[in-house]
Amino acid sequence: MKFAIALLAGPQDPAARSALCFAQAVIAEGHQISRLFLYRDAVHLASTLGVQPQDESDIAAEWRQFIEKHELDGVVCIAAALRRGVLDEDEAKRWDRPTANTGAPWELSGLGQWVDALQSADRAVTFGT
Amino acid sequence: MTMKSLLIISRHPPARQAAREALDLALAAAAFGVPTGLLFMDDGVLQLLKGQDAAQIGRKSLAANLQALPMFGVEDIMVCQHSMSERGLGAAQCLLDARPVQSAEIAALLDHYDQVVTL
Amino acid sequence: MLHILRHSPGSETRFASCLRALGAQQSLLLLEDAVYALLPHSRTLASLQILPGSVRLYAIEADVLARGLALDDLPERVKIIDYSAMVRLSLEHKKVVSW
Repeated sequence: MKFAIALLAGPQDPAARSALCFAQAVIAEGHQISRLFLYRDAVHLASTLGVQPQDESDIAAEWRQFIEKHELDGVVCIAAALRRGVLDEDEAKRWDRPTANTGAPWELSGLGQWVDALQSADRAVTFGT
Repeated sequence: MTMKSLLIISRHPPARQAAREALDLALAAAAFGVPTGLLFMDDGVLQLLKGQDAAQIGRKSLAANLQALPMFGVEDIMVCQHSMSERGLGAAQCLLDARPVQSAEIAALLDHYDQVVTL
Repeated sequence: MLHILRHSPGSETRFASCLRALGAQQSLLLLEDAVYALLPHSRTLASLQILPGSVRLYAIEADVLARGLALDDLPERVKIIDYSAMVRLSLEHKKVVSW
């Protein structure tokens, strides 16, 4: 079965971990994740600049590793990301910002990607509402 | 391919960025031709209040976006009657003509849509 | 339909809204701060207990344990599950609604 998973809350919210645990279980149960979509404050998970104390887990890094390992389609809402200062190389250049803080495996794209994922998935599950 | 409908329940008061982002999803869905219903519930009903001057707190008013929804194809706009009464609000205070939905109807309403997204 | 509730009953009207929207043949899964609804002797636990017997109740084990609720204290009708069970649960239902 194909799952579309959306996350709306940021790295500081327990939803960031719930969504990851659920996504891992989807794969472990032998199903597919057709798309992961980050919206609202969840876009901060795509930033590579966060620094966590050594004895605390780095949820943003765990998400990146999970997506890379399973070669998943991880999409970050571009409008929500720009508002919150999460930019890839192209956007940093376009808006003349001093640095980019996101990139592969995440991809910045529009809300249409979520609408599309909702349409084609067998189950859509939203975390962090 | 059968087109699935999408219901977005919006629940943030208008001063939050989240309120705008909920409307953005409704508009994106409509732009993709997805039949989209909108149910305002809990603090989300506060988005419908007339007379908001969001510029006072450095925000852009949502009124224009809300009023444009039918033009973009979001025609099924509903409001939870319980959430309205809880806040002492009536239809006359709404800037949109939203259909009131009773608590007992909500389960059936959620059933009617293929996908339900809460924002 | 599977309803997923994540907000603490004390901080939000969504808890009550979710219960109002819950149909008699549907399921409710508590995760994150919503598991506080299971605190023994609480009013929210009482409101869960009076849901029709046909409503199935679930809670995520890690969230229950993380918040200091003892599994032994939980009412029998609440089934404690892990994320794999949550995946299966979401497939048993036609759709998943998050609150």
